Amino acid sequence: MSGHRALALLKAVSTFKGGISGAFLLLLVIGALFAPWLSPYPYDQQDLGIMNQAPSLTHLFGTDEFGRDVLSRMITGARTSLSVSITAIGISVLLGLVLGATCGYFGGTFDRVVMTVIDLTWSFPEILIALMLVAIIGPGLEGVVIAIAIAYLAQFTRLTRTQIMSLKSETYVEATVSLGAGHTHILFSHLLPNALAPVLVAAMLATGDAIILEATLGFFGLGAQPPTPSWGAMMSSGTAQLFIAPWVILLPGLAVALTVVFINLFGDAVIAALDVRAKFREA
Amino acid sequence: MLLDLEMLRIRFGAFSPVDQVTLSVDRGQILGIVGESGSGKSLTATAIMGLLPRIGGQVAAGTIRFDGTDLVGLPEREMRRLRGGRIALITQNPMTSLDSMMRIGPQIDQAARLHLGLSRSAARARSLELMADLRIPDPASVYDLFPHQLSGGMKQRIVIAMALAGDPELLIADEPTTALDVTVQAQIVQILVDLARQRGLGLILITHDMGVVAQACDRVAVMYCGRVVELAEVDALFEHPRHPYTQALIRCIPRHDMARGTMSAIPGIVPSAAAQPPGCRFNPRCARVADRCRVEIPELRVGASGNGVACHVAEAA
Repeated sequence: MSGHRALALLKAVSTFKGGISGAFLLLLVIGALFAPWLSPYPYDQQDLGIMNQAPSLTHLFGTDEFGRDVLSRMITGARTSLSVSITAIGISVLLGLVLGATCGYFGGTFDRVVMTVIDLTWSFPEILIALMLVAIIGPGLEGVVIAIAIAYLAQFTRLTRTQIMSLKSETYVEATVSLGAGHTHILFSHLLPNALAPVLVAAMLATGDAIILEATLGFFGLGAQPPTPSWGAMMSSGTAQLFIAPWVILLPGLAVALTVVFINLFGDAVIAALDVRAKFREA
Repeated sequence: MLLDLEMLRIRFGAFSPVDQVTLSVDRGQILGIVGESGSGKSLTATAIMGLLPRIGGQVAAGTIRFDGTDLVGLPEREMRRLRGGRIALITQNPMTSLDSMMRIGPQIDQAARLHLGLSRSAARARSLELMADLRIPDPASVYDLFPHQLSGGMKQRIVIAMALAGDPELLIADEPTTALDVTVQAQIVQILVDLARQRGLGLILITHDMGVVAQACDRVAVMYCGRVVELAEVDALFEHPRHPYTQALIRCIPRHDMARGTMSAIPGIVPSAAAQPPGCRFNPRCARVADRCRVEIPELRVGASGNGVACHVAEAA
């Protein structure tokens, strides 16, 4: 099983698209992981003598309105963006797998109730749900994580449910039932492993969207609170200097755009390698 | 008797696709159930496994006695203990009966771990032994393969090994050879026959192939439209078939000494469950139909010998 997956990943990385995007994402993850050691200056070190300086050799990406190094803040911001979106999507996938598998496998009233609620959340745009939830929970990273997790829950629940429902009638499941296996065994040993591949790909693609959502919430000042940098919050404070120091808003914006594009490209490469597109269309 | 079905009726909503099914198997005995597609063979097997509720059906009447206990109305928990343990099913299509994401070995281990409470390593040792018994070459390396790496005949042996892993007393093989090449079919049937003889298993062989019946079975139940129409020893059935349907079936077996163009078929088609004719369900296609057959349903009367026929004409003769 894991051999299959590792092979598919290798196949994905060996394509041009997968290779380029994989390399970028790897760099990004390394940057985020080792942010304190990689950033040239502390992200919160202010120097009012060098406010809004254009990119130069000492400050590669320039400085912001407090004279802080934009590059250092972006590297630390990558940490915020990635950890928030990955944690949120992780929670969302786990919850979606559990809910979707339970609904798809057992059906009945429970299924109907849960799916009605899920469909209800799906009828709103993600940003609206996220804004509403952050308004309830209060600004801060925990709120953003929960909001993003719930905003994307519908997608994973639906996908898992459809997978489980179609797998449930496979002959090998019937064969396992006639071996006297219980529900837990069938669900965890046979159904979930077979349903996982498309859900994981969907999760990867959703991570890209989650980064945008996180940046949006940050831009509105609902995410990371100062001085913790996040790409969205940096862009938000950069709007005031748009004409005197455009790099303060453009560079984090570029980081968001590139990250999302590369995540999508990498997701595409993995879909091709795993050959799950057919399953995707069904859902 | 190991398994005794008496006047079993299976109901799906308003329909009873299976009715008046009476048959029995003893240890070491091979019972063939023959009939066309849709005659209720597989449903009968599903009923014995207690899996009807899964597909929306239920046992409406009759008994399924396994080693003295009636399985009808047995709590699911106890049924689950029997299923795959003392009663095992070999499913129809080996191509789809294996989980493609799981290695071969662990799939065979399942029943032993579930029912015999064996540890991972003990189950593995047992599975390897079973695979060797089923003449699977190099069990240790096949154990670590994935299903797509095996041929159809090999997959069917794996499916048989899965069924045997729980150490069953009764084995139900539901058309175990339909998806296989003719040469492989004979091997698989031979393996099943040997199993029944050597291990003293009761074996129910569901098939629509009269050749397989003649080759392997001790007794035969012939089913038509959800009913057992004739129950007999295999020799008696082939030499003196009593029910007109059985006679017609036997006439349909191609033989090498037949003249060209003389293959016979039974005229008409199997009526659907919603459009059953009144009286005997075979009467529109029967060559010896009498007036009584069109109004009164013949009952299967099983004599002391355990043989019987459900036909007004045959009984009168």
